[in-house]
Amino acid sequence: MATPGSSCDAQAVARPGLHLVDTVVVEPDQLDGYLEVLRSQAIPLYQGAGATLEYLRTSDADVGEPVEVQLAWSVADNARWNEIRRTLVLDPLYYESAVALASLRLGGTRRFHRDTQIETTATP
Amino acid sequence: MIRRFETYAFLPGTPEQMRKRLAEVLGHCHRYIPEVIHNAVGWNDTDSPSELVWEHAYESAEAYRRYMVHPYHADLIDRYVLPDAPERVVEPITGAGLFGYHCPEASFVLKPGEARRVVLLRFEKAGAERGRVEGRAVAFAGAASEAGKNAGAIMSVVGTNTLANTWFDGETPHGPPPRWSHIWEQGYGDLATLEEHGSSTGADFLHEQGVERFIELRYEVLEPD
Repeated sequence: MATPGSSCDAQAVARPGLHLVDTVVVEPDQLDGYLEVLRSQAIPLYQGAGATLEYLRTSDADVGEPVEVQLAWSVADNARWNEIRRTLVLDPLYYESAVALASLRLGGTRRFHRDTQIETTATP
Repeated sequence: MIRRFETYAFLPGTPEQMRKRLAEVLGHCHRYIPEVIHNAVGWNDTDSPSELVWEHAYESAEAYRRYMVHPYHADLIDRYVLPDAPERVVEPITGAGLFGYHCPEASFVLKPGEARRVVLLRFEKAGAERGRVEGRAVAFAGAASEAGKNAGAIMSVVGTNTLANTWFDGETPHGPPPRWSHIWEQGYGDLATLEEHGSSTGADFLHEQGVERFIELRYEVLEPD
């Protein structure tokens, strides 16, 4: 299991394309349970469907406030995501995993990010 | 042409603001995905678990596939409906779900303010011979049109539920046959007229016509903008 406050970088790699970023908030005493569902259910499902894990990060669990958990996936584009999505929704385990995660979090968001390039000038 | 419906039952405790937000996201879909045509939403008035109905259409399977991979689909619609999305507001299974039919033309169109009745039908038990089921459906379509006209309906279309198991690309079936083999759409001038006259083509009529099981949705077609 990942240690709260650190990152889970096993097989993690950032790739260009579409990035699915789930940012959720959990109570500190639910963090281990949430991470365990990710480790044992959600992450294998997404990897099996063809998504690439970019990172799993958490905020500090010992500062007296709910913990933010951010999980990011990369896929080539929306067409590839559509195929992954199909694989997920046809798998009964996906629904079990979704119910388990929902029961452990306070709330959150899902956003799709795209790579953006800007030119920057280094200042001396 | 593909005629498509999705229906949603909200999670218990979903605030009114979020119910309206999903209706707005669906109702505005055509602004961002031009392939989505005849786009409208409605709030179901029957005791079916489905609360929000999203009705729309596509000119072709190709147009449907462009909708499937459009960023608005993944970013906005799935944000509120995909089972593991943190902002999900709907039950993942409950409700009539996704259904629709292929048809040659848009004879289902209603104006905002008019009312639609959608009846999901099953003529035979699962596994019945397909030709027999379609034969019953053809006979039903004629009787339904006539009975509807007599009850003040302004349109009536019966279609085979071809989209429930071809939802990925609009063409290729997967999984078992759908629970509801056919869809009957009726239109009325307004919801009051539908409520007053719709029962004349209700359960008794449906059973007389050989329908084994059905569920029904009734709603006012809302202005998407």
